Amino acid sequence: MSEVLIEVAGLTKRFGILSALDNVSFELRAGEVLGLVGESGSGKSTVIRCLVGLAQQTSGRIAYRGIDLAAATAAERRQYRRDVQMIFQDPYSSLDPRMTVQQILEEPMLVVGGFSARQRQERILHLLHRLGLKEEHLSRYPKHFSGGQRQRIAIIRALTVEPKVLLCDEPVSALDVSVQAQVLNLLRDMQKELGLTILFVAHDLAVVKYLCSRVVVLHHGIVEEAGTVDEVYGAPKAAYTRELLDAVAEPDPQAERARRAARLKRLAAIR
Amino acid sequence: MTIDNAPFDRVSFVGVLSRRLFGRGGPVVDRLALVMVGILLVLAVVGPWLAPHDPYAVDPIASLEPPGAAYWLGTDDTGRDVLSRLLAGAPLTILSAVAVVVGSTIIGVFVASVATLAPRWLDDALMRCTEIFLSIPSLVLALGLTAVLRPSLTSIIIAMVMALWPATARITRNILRETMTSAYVEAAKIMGVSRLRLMLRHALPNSLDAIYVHASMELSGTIVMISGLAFLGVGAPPPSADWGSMIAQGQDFITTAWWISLFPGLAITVAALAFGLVGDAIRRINDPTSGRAQ
Amino acid sequence: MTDGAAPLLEVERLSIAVPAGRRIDGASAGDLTLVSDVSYAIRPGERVALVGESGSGKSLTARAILRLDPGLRLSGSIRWDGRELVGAPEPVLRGIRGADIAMIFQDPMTALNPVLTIGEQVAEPLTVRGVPKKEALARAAEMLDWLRVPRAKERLRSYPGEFSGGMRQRVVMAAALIGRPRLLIADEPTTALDVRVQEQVLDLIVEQSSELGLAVLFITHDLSIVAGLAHQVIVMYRGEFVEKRDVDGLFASPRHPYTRGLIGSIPRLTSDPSVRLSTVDEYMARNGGAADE
Repeated sequence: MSEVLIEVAGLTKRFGILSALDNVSFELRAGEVLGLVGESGSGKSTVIRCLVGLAQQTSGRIAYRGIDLAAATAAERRQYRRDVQMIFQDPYSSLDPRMTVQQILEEPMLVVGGFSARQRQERILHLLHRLGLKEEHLSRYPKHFSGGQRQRIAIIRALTVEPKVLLCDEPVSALDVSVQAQVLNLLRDMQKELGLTILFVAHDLAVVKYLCSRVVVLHHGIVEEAGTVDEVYGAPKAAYTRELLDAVAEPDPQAERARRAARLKRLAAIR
Repeated sequence: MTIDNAPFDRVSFVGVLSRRLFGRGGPVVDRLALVMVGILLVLAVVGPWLAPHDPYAVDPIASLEPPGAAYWLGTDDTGRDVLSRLLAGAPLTILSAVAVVVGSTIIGVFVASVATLAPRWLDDALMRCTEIFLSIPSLVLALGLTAVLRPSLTSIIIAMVMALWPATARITRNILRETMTSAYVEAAKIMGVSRLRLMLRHALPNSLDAIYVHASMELSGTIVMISGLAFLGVGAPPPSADWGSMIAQGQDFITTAWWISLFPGLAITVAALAFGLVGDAIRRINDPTSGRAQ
Repeated sequence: MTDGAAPLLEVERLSIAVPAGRRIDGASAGDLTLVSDVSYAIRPGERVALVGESGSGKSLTARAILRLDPGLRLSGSIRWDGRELVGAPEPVLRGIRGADIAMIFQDPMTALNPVLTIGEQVAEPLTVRGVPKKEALARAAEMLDWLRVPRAKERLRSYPGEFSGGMRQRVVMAAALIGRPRLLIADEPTTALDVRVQEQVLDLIVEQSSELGLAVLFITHDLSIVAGLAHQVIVMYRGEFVEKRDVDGLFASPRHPYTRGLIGSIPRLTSDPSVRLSTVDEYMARNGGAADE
C-alpha cells in the first residue's frame, strides 16, 4: 500500500448556513489517479480550492505526508507549494494575457527558487518539446493559442518545478471533444512517465473512468460513495451514483433509443 | 490557420490601438478626430514658435482689429494678435490638461493599489475618503482649492489633480479588485507569489488598458474645466494666453469685437470634441470584440 | 416521422460570410467565409442533429434559417414550406419566428428576462400576435403543465430567478412550443446543464417531438447525446459538411476520417480504459486531411 500523500479528513466549508462541504474525507495515495466526481454545486471545486489555499475550510484537516497544513512551518508550506501544482478549468483565463509563454513558464521556477537560468531554460525546452509545442512559441502570447494548446502550456507550467501531485480542476471540460482526447492522453502519458499523483476533478463520468483508478462521488458537499472505478461504476451502492451512471449517454444509437423509450414509458405512466 | 502562420500581432495596448485606428475600416469620424488630436498635440509643443506675432506685445494702434490680412484672427483690445495668443495658449491649455490627467491618474492608481493590497479596514477607510471627495462637484472642489493657492495656472493644475484623483482611484480599485480575482492571478497565488508581486506583475499590467481608457476620456472634460477655472479668474493673471483667460479677456467686447472670445472658445470646443471622440474610440476599441484565439 | 412527405425545410448550397467591410480580424481583402456550400433537408417530425466542434459553423448554419445575424451575408437557398427565406423581407421572417419555427438556446438564464414573470414570457409569442392576455396565460399554464412544471398555474406569477436550470429550460421550451411550431431549433440546449438534468431535457425534446409531430434541428458538439435522439446526423468541420447520414449508419460505419476520429475520441463507460483514445489528428493525418494544432 503506497504512501498517503494527501489526507483530507472531515473537511467542512460553510458559507453562513449553507454547507459547500460537509465532513468530506478521502486519501490521495502516491502514484494513483483519483477522480473526484460531482455535478455543479457538489463542492468538488471547493475541495481543490481548500487544498491549494485559495479557500479556508471551516473545519477539518488537510495533511501532506502526515504534516497538518494548518500547523506546518513556513519551510514545510513552501515545500507543499512546490510539490503540489494545479491545472485550472478555463484555459482562456488561467494564463496571464500580458505575459509571453516564456515568462509564464518561468514564473513557478523563479518563485520556488533554486534553478539557475540555464536549468530553467533546459526544463522549459524539454517539457515544451515533450508536450508537442515548439521553441518559437515561447515568444508568443496566450491569445495566439487555441484552448487545447493553452492547457498544454498550463500543464508544462505545472510540471516545471517537478511536482509530486497535480490537482486538476476539470481541465478538459472547456475543450472540444477531439482536443479533450489529446489532453487526456497527454495527462496519462505524463503520469506514467513521471510517476505523478493526480487528483482529477470532473463532472464527466466517462472521462474519469478513462483516467482514474479510484473515484470519490460528491453530492451537495457530501461523499456519497468512494472506491475503485470498477467497484463504483460496476456495482454502485449509493442511489445517487446509480442515477449519475444512468444519465450518461453512450454513442450507441440502438442502446440509447431503447433506454430512452423505457424512460419515456415510465414517465407517460405517471401523466 | 494554425499557430505557426497566424499573424504575430502585439498584445500591448498601443499596438492594438494603432492597428485598429490606422488599419482599414476605421470609422471616418475616429480618424478625423485622431488627426485633429495629432495637430493639437503638435501645436501644444511648437505652437508658440509658429506665432506670426509676439503674443504678448502690446500695440495700441492695432487694437480691436477685425480678422483680416494682417491679423488673421483679429486683435484684442491691447493690440495683441489673437492667432498668436491662441498658438501661445495651446501648450498652456492642452499640456496643463495632460498634466492634470497624468497627475490624477498616477495618484489615483497609487491609492487604488494600496487600497487593494491593504487589509480590509484600510481599504474601507481609503474608499470612504475618496467617496467624500467624490460627493463634492469637482469644479466646486477645484475652485475652493484654488482659493487657498495663489492664482496661477499651476494652482489650477494642482487643484484639479486634487479634485480628480478620487474618481480615478475609485475606478482603478474596482478594476484591480476584479483583475485580482482572475484565474491567472489565482494560479500565481498558488505558486506562492506575494500579494505585492501579484499586484505589480499581474494585476496592474492587465488593468492598464482600462486605466488608459478612463484617462483618455477624462482629458476632454479636463480641457473644458481648466479653461472654465481660468475664465473664472483663478488662473494666471491677465496677460496669460491660455484659452480660458482669453475668453474672459474678451468678455467686455463680445458684441463689438466678437473675435477675441470666439476663437479661443472654438479652440476649446474643437479640442474637447477631438479628445472626446478619440477617448470614446479608444473605449470602443478596447471592448472585447475579438478576445479569444480562434 | 412521415417518410416520403415533402420536406418542411430545404437548404440548398447555403454559404455564410462576413462581408469585407465588417471584418475585425485585420485581414484585408474580400469576405470571410464562415460556412460554405451546405445542403440539407428536414422532413415533418424528423430530428436532425448538426454536430461539430467550436468553429465548425453549426450554430451559424442554424441561425441563418431565422436570419438572426443580419450582418452576415447569406447566399444560396433556404426554403420553408416552399417559401424562399434568403432575401425575404423582414416581416416574413418575423411571422415565422415563434410560430412556424421556434428556437431555444444554450443558456436558459439569459434567454429569460429576469424582471418579467414567466407567465408573461411564455405567453409572449401569443400576445404579440393579438391573442388576448387572459387566453394566452391560460394556454401558458397548460403548456407548463404539459411540460411537467409543478403547480403551473401558480408559477405563472413567479420570476425566472426562482427556478433551477432544468426548470428554466422547460419554461423556455414552453414559450417555444406554445405557438405550435412545426420546427424547433435547439442550439446546444443542454451544454450548460448537469448530466441528470441534461437527460431530462433531452427526454422532453424527444417526447414532444414524437407526440406533436415536431421536427427538431438539434445543434451540439456532443456526439453521444445525438445517438439516442436524432434520425439524421450531419457532421460539420470548419464550415463544411463532412458527413450526412442516418444515425445508425453514422455510428456503425463512419465514412469520413474526421467523423471516425471524433467517435474514437469519446471516452465511454463501456470501453476498456487501457485502450488509448484516438484523436482526430491521427485519423486526419492517416487520411491526408489537414491536422489542427
